[in-house]
Amino acid sequence: MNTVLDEIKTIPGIIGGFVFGVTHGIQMNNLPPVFKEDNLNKIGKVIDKIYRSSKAGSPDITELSLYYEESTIIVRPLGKTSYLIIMSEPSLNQNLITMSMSMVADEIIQMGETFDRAAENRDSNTQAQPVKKEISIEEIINNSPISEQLSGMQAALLKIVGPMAKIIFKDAIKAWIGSNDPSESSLPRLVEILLNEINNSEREEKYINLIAPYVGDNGTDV
Amino acid sequence: MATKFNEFADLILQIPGIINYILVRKDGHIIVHDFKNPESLSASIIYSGLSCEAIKPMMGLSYFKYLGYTLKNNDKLLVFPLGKYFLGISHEADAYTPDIVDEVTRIIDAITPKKSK
Repeated sequence: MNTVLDEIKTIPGIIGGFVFGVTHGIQMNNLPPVFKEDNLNKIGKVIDKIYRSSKAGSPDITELSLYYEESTIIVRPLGKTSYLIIMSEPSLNQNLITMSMSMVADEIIQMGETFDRAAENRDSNTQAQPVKKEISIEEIINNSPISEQLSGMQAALLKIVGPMAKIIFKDAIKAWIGSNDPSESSLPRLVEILLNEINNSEREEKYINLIAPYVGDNGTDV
Repeated sequence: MATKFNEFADLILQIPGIINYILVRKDGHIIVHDFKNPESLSASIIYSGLSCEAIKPMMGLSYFKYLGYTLKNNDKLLVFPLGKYFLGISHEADAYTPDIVDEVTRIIDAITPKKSK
């Protein structure tokens, strides 16, 4: 499996790459050790959100490229649950990378199918809980004992992050109920997740003030 | 102010190969556009652009230049940060992306106020 990454890395200018799985993090990695896995996992999660939000605006996306002063990051989805993420020097012709990825396209497709199957096997071992949680997210937000608090928190988030608030809030709920019972006592954990998403100290403070009437002192003590 | 934005849009549209454009403020307000469905596109542009900026400290990167999407028909959608705004443009598949980027960057640099030391 590492062959595809190693083949791509032979192209001059390619620093390396990694495969990120949405549910299980880094699957493969041949970047230099200075790229710590913690940071790569964070980047993978951000890239997943970029890709999904981009699909909402343009459903036909096949590849993403992020261009920075020091480096270029090329992202190709592998199946439904993983991404192949390649880092290169900024001067490298992206068409060369795209062509190289096309040359190993069959192997990339196989990688995607393998990771999808692995993810499905893991999901079935947890007895279809993820499907149940997808339904429960709507129920929790709209029809639960804490709907009023959640509605208030979502409305406040709209004032902080704008139009993407609904998507961000839904993702946060999903992460929250993944490891917590959705109840008033675990709201502080949801607040923590949302503050991580906002990721700006001034806006975080503003958000905490806005949600104080809904979550009380406990919820804002993060 | 609206005239200035329209003038900017006119400059962008003069670049060969560009199909559509959208200029959005980071708070979600669409300034000018000629896309058919700008609302959903503007939200994804803002979210993607802000997320690209969020990646910088994770990788020790200094400056986010632009984001590029490749579509199934090989058309490209590019997103450029522009101060309080993001500029989204789509260009034809057979247009050379680096040339488009150079032209757009030149226009952005020309209209961006330089900070005095």
